[in-house]
Amino acid sequence: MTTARRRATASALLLLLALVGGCAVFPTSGDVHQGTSEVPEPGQVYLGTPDSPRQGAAPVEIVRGFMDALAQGVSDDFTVAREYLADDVTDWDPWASVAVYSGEPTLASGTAAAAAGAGPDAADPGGDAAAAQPAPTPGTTARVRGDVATLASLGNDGEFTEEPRGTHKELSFTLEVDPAGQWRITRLDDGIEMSGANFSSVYRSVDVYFPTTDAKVLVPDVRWFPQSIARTQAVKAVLAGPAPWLRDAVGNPVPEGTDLSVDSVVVDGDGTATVDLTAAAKAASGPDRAVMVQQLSTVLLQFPGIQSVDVLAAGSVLSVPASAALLVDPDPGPGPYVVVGRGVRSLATGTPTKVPDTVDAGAATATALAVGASAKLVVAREGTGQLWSLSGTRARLLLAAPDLARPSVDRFDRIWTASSDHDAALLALSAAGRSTPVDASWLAGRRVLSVAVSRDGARVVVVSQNASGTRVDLAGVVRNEAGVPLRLTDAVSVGASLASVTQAVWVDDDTLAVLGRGAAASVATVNLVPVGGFTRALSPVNDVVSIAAGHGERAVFAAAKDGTLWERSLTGASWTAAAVEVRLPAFPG
Amino acid sequence: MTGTGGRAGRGRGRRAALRVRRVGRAVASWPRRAAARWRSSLQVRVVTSSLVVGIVVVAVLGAYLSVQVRNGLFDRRVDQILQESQRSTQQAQSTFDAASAKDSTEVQQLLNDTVPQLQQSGSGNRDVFLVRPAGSTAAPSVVGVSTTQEFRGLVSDDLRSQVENGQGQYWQSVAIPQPDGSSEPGVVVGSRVTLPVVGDFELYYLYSLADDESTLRFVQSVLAIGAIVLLGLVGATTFLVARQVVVPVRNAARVAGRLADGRLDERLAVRGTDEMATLGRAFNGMAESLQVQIARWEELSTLQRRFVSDVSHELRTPLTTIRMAGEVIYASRDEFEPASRRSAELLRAQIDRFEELLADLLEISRFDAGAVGLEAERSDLSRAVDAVVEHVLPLAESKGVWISANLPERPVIADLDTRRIERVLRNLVVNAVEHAEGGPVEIDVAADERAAAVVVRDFGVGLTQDETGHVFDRFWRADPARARTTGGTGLGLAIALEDAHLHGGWLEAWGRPGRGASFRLTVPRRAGILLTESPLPLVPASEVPRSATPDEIRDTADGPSGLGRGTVPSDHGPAALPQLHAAPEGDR
Repeated sequence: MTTARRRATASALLLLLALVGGCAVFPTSGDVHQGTSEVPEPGQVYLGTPDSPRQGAAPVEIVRGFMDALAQGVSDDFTVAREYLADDVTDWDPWASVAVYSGEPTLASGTAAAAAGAGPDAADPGGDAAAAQPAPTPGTTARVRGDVATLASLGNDGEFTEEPRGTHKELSFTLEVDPAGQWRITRLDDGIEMSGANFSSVYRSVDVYFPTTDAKVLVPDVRWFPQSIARTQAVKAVLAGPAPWLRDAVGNPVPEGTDLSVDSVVVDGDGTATVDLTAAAKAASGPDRAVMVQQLSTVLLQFPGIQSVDVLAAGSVLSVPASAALLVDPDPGPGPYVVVGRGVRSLATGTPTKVPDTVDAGAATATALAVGASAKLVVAREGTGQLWSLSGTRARLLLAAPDLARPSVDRFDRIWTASSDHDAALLALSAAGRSTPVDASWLAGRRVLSVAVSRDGARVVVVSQNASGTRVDLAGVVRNEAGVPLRLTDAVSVGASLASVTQAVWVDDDTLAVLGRGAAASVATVNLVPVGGFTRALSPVNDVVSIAAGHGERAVFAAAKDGTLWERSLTGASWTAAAVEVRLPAFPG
Repeated sequence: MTGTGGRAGRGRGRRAALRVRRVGRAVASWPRRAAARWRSSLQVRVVTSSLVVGIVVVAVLGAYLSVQVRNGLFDRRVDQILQESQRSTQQAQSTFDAASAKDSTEVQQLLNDTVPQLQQSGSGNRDVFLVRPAGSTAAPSVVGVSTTQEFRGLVSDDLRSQVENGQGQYWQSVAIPQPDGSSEPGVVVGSRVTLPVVGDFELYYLYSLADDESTLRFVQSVLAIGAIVLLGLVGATTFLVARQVVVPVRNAARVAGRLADGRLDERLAVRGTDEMATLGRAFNGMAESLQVQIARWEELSTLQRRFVSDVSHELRTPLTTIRMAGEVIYASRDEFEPASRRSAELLRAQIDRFEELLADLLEISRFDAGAVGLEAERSDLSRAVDAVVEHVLPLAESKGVWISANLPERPVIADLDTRRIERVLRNLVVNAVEHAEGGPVEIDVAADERAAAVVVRDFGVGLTQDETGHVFDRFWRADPARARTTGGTGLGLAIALEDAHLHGGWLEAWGRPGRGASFRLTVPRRAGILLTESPLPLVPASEVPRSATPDEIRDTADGPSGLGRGTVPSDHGPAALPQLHAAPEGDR
């Protein structure tokens, strides 16, 4: 190598060394970089193992221990709880019902020996009286009665029902001393009880979807399942078909007899869930298969950790001609629409803008506003006896009837209301004004205050009142092929803990915003009532008279008596003023 | 199996077996070959030893660094974990202190809400366990809560007893089992917290140190790469450096070899001014000077030879004239006075001698100049011996020396230049007769596959050990005072030696003072055979002649030329020859 080339190589090497050597420290300045990273969702909590029966425990202690072991027993089939039962108890069905209680259960023993106390921990664990006694003779029986303050109850299919305030459930246990000298439970009621705290960690709610009869929208039915088997139970609920109250209002594309061929839904490492159905699934027609696959996917994708769903029938992939595209939780559209002065305006942009193709008058004395999809239909209730249509070039009277309920417009452009003229029925009007009654036998003798049809058109929430108070009911809508509503199915009660309810609107497909008085409030507040869950009150607004909700919790509006329209602030749990001198907010729906 | 198939099969099998054996041998000989390579190559030794040292150093250093890094990483991470846990526990405790839970349900709700928050608020992924103290009986309906079910067993009983009985935070290293069977290192930290209504609970955090372990692995792999690169560098460097020394040395060895072979104009290529270059230059200087010296000596030698040759040639002409004049004088010697007659005889004899000497000198100078040619043909050595003995017989008769020749039955055929071989044999036999002191002269001929030999033995004056070394020198006489009847030139044996060497053969002498001498001529049977041994021994086996004793010979002989017992005395001459052939074979 010539000297010149050698020198060049040497200097290049030195430069490289200097560069590399200088990189061995942490940087103290530099460019700005994107730094968003993934934070994992909070995981599930697992309850610790409950205690097994203590030697020489008194009957009340046994019953208390049994009840404490029930919450954790949901995930392992009650192994510890069964230790409190006598060996020959075989007919106890723990899954019949779940009673969710608050506070402590009060238990009292029926035998004379143990001290009967009312209140928590009255069980005298190893209490003085019991300890002083000799071991009881095998065969002695005792009764323990209990009482819990229930918040809600769960049926065996997972249907959730909130209980009104002050509901109690009676418990009754019969115990006997077994040959080893220990008290064990020999007779007890079916079903289990658990505290509200444990309920939310042991159970989770799942929306089980069914298609509307015209297969355009998926309708959720909220069920609660134990966390550990929720996926499998959700799929089984889909395959079993809709609950009785929803049965005629929604379609069921799953063929008769279809079930899971393996009793679990397997999720692999990539987050792909595999649903293996029996061969009966192949009996479904092409479009039905598509709907069924979309149902199963939508239900399973609610679970964290599932990214995609494969549906198999008898081992091979269920062939679907074209995927279904049913809407899930449809958006009502922009809004709210408000009454400003005499006319109706849209506040979608923040400032009141005229609604096209709508009469700019006739709303001065309106008491309720209902808007159809894209504001094609605008309906106002005058006083309590007249229903006017404000669409088009002039106002038209649609209906004149006494005690009209707050109207609602469904996605078929039918105007719903009710009148004391038509008992046990709602009224559905076409745009032209022709009304048909919608039978609802459970409304007999009740005056309807507010009607709101869900955005899928298959359910309706009705606020009705009679002498004993208000009630909020949810029922399915049975329609004919043309979409004309015929009747309502049997109702389920929602938001039972609220009193003096005046209005209920849909927030999204499984939550309502209800204006009523909660347990601890003395004035009406806006409450969020999940269709299958616990009522939650929002922070109070002074003198709220009417509410409206777009899509989601953040789109809840409350109109106060002084004309201020309050909306949910972007963060936090408070309200900010959206507009002044407006009344009667309404969203399409 | 048919015959041919079997044979083919066997052949195939044998070939396969051979192949296997060959491979096996190659493998088995590898250590031997490696050792041979090690011994023969300086470069291999240097590179290997530097690599070995490098590996040892790198391994020790790597291990030390690795341990230090591991300790540093681990200690730092544990400190971080402990601090984080302490902080979280304090926050949880203040949450618990501020809580308004009044019954077990509300306490349970508090636990169910706090534990996920504690998990989320960690700096990485950690699992949180809130556990009832073992043996606690307060409020049994409040159960412990944890964020995982599988790892509950990792909170060991030792840790639990320490946390329950001690104050403050305790920690322990654990192995977190993974779904694929391996396990990750982890740390469990625990302390006590006080809950409303139920009293003391134990709060544990499980941290995984997998990240730090992967950092450690990363550092170790980087170190390993660095070590490999370093070792490669060391090997390459020593290889290059050794090469710089070994290549010139190898060149020098090669050039020296060529110089030794006789190519005197070979030189080393020299570049630069370093030590190797200096060595090279010195080497070249030496070769140059050697070449010059040798050239000078060669020239000198050539000159000398030419001088001898020229002189001999020059002397021939006057010698011829002298000879002719001498003949004339000799022819008319009878006319002279006795003194002049004697002078004329002396003159003739000495002229003859002079001519012989000159002829021998010329012959020797031809040998020296390398201008000799070997005219070899396949001929019988025995016949040559016969011819020589016949020629020498008169001399032997006159000296009373008994010549016996022991010839094999079959002809001894070899590639011989008859003229030269006969000259050699003549010289040997004449010498033997001259020095026999009346004793017999024995000639033995023998041959084997590769060589044929003739041994001429006499029992006369003999030679000392020292003299046998000089006997073939030019103009050397053992005893200068000794009279020579036939007169030798002093070059006879030297010429005989050259003749023997020309055939590629040997001429050797042996002697004992007073016991006689033995001369052995060995020639290869065919030209080109390299002689390694001779069919006859140089040192005679017996001390005494094998034929009849000289006394017996004298007794039975008529006159001085006794021819052996039981033989018809006849004249020496050709008629005696058959007798010689009939002589019994003696021992060899």
